[in-house]
Amino acid sequence: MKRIRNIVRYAIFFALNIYIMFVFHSYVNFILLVGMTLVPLLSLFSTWRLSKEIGIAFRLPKESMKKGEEFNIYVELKNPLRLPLVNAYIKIKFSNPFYGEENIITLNVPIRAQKTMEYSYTVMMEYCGRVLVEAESIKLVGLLGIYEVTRKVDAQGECLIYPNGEPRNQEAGQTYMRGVTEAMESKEKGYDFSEVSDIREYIPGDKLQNIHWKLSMKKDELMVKERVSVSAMQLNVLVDLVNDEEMRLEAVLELADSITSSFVLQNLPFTVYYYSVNRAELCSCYIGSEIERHQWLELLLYDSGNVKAGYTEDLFIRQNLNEGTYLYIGYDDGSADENAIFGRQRTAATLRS
Amino acid sequence: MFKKNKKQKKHKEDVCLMKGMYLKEDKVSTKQILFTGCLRSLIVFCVVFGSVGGFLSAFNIEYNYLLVVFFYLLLSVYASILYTAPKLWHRDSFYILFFAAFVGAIYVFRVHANSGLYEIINAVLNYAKQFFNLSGVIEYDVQIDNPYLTVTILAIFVGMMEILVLNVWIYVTMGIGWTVFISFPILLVPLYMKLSPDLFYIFILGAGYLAVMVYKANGHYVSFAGDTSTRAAGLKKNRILYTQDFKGFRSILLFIILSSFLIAVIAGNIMSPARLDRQFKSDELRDSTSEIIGNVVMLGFGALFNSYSSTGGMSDGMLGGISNIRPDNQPDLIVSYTPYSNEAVYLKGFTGGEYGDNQWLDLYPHVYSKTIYGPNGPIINEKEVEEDQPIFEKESMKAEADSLKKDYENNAEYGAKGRMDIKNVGASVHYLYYPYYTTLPDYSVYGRNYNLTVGIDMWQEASYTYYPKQIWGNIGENKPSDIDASQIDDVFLEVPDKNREVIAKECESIGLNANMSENEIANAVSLYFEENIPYTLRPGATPRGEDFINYFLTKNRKGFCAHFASAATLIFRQMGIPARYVEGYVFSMETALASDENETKNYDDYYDGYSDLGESTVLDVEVTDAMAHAWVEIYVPDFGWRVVEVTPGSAEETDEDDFWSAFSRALNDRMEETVGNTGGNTLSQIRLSNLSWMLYAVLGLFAALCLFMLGKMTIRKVKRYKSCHQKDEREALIACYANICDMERMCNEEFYLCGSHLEQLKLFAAKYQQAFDLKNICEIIERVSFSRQGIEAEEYEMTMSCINELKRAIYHNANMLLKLRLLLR
Repeated sequence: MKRIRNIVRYAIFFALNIYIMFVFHSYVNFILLVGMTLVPLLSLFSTWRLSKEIGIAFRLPKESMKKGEEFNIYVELKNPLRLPLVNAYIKIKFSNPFYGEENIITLNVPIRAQKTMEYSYTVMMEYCGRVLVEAESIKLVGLLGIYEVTRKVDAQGECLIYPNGEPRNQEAGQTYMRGVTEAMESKEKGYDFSEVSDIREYIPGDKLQNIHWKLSMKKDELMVKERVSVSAMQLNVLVDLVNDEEMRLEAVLELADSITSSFVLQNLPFTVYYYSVNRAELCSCYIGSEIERHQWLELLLYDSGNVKAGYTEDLFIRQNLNEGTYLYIGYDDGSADENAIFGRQRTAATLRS
Repeated sequence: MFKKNKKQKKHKEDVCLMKGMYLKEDKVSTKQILFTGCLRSLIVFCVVFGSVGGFLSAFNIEYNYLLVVFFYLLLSVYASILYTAPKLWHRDSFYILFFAAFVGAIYVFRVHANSGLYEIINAVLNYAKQFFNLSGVIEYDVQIDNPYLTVTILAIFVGMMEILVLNVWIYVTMGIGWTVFISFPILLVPLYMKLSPDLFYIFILGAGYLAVMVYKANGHYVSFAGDTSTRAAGLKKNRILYTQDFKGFRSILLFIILSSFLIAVIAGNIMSPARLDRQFKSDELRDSTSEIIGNVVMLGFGALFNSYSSTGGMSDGMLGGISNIRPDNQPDLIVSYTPYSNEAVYLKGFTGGEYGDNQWLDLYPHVYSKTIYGPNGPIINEKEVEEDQPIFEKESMKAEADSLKKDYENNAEYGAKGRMDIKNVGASVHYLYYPYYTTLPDYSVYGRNYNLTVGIDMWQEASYTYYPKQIWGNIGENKPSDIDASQIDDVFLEVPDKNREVIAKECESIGLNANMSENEIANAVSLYFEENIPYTLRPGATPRGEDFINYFLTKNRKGFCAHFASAATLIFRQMGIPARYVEGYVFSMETALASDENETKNYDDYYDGYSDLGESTVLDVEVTDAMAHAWVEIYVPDFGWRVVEVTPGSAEETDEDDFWSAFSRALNDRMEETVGNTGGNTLSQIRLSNLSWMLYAVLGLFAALCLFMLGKMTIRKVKRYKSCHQKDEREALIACYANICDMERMCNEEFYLCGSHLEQLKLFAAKYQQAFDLKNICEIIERVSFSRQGIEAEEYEMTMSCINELKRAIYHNANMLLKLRLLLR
């Protein structure tokens, strides 16, 4: 519409100028007429040339950002020509694959002559995830607003936004100790505090308690669960990545961040379980240091938070990984007792067995 | 839900890029705003300098470029930076400050500006005279004969006004239409006369126009103080626009200027103005309009309606251009004299000998030709002065004056000698304004003393000795014997060929014949005019191509003194009586009697000899421009030149009786009275009556300011009305609610403390005793404000009704002052 308005406006003044020139035999209007003829050509040429030469790139922070922190997104436009433009419209897709959110925004900037321009935009992310910024196309508008060229561009940048949970050392430490103690007690009662690493055929001498009876029935031969002994001073942590309309997953992540960082701070090793939508399986990570924790969070954020409610825990139990006591971090369905660690939006970290 | 709303409220100022991601709005730095403003002012400068400079260059009028450029740039930047003021009242205050400075500057340089204007008008008229082949175009007198200076000053003033007006449009709409409308019409004048501005100005103007077009086409021209560097566009806010980018602006502007320069150079080289003109075979515009435009040039725009005005005073023998007279009643002369009879006093100024081209030619071609200035002042041509001497004596009736002087010295019965001091306070400086039968020194004395203009300079006083002829009303019977009379020339008997037929017919109509005496003919003509041709100050202008006298006698049949005197002069000549057309000032005995008595002056110093009135007193008579008059002098053998009054008395109401004239007079009188009461004005060069224009300027300024405020208020009200009645019910509801909040804030400062809609509504409910569903209304307002959920028609109706009730309640509860503020907001 604006383009049509510009064309109409230009046409009116062009016609008016010609009229005055003819009526008055006006030299002024003759010069203006020459200008009004050449300028659109110049505008057309400069727009066309720029569309061939212009380059675009994004720069986002390489270091990890906490959610709620402001950071800059830099848009770099490189114009090697001496031709400026008032308006360039860059179609940019902002997305957060973790939540499956995306939006297309058109960014309007001027193009200066023979210059690499860097426009910075201060943004703030309220949710965790991976911010992906991709330029889809750039539309260059001629000086007179009546000629436009759109060109596909390929430029992208990304940045991870981590949860900003505050360490809750005391609560986390107590929970850890309680969890480990319960696991030890379970072992004493006959529970084995080891992990199943493989299933193989029975070899004489194997413990009877290691026989996988169900599978043996199916296969009609004795199958044995091969166990890898795990230290008794370790806790399993199950993070349930379920989201809802109220974005409670943010609170879950925040709580998980708080608790896991507290564990690491107190040198309490743990294995964290979560369901990976991308890999379609329950994943686990042994975490004994902050680097490992950071790597786990990175893996988590590259994944997706759209897991069905209760699915992770079911899978966890189904795979018999719930031997002993584990720490469940997720929505509080009312079962959390006073020993649980509570997060925002009715989330809690509860020891379950 | 509530928390969600809170979150959205938190990011109200930010732009949502996607769910959970917000672009933070940052304020543009003052430096950025100022620099952008300065660049924007360049557009205004280019357009104004291109148009004003182009106009002057087209007419080859010289002026000081540097000074004009300096002032234009200064004001452009000033006007532009006004828009960067953080608050609206700051801008308004600085506008008022500018107006005050402008009025002050105009007052200080008023004479320069006037002279500059007349210089320009004269230059235009000179070209127009050649272009339209006109005769009788009036040239304006300039008080300061330094066109370089005066034109520069005028160009600065004109440009200042243009800049101020244009700046508003550039900032508000960047409208090319308004820009052209404000700047281009001035160039149509030279363009019509096939004159072209210098290429440089065309380039400057073109660059300005191009910049306006480019920025209008691309947006980004609306920016004010406190702006953000980006702005979300549209309801969905899916576009982020930059607002002020100084470097981008600079880059574009440089590109535009460079392109315009190249285009101007290329176009200038491929075509010259003359060559362009030759390309056109027909010239329909000029063919069809030159008649009308020529009339306009000659008579002013009034020619379109046949109503060109003169402001009174003498016309210097120029006749055709005046259609009506609106005297300003300002004094032109101050005459100190002693009355000696009841007859009106005639002060002779201009004497016309030859008639042609709708004007009376002066008897002194040398004197009234253009003054030539050398490095040491005016150049006096002794030979020309000598040649003019006998003519000067004939005009001033030296022979008659000498004869009467002799009578007085010989103690003749009616012999008398008078003295008249005449001070020029507003009349043309080209004339002497002497009473009849004055013994004047040699013409060469005036020639040397008065800068080659045989007149009384402004604020100068001339003292004349005259010998009154007491019985000039009765030539036939009481003609004094042995009077010496001036020699007459053939020119006083000339009737132009084009007038002969009309004049002869008129003589026949009057009933004149060769047997009648001069006295009888004069009486017959006066009587005929009195009975047949009405006097009017609004006779209408003589159309272009028509002869002034022929048109008056055959078609128009109405006129003022110049018409009657001109026609009568030719009638007398047709009848063989030498006659000449005279202009000057006349004041009656009534005027004299109403004047101030000058007790410091002695009667004996001013009059001696026979007097109809006996010994009287010295009076200071203020002779206004309304007393300027034209009459006829006829030559009676053995008697000399005598005055014949042929202008009938006026029966119509004069223009001075209209409201504004009366107001003006009252104002002047009042001001002078006030000054008189407080001891008088010590600045002798400034007449306080002339200060009244300042009051007009202030009143005009005030009126303009009122109009401006009224306009702004109307725009605000229209905008508010539109936003409250828009189709989008959600937006309309928000606008209406914001409106009552604004109203309440004006009435109640406590309202500022309310932090939420609920608190605001609670305050409304408590203060205005309104019974409405507080919770529900609050929920609806919060919903439309912070979410994208729709609103039911029923909810809309209910909320709007509640808002309207509150609006009425706020208004009715406000006191008178607040009511006024609410109305004017």
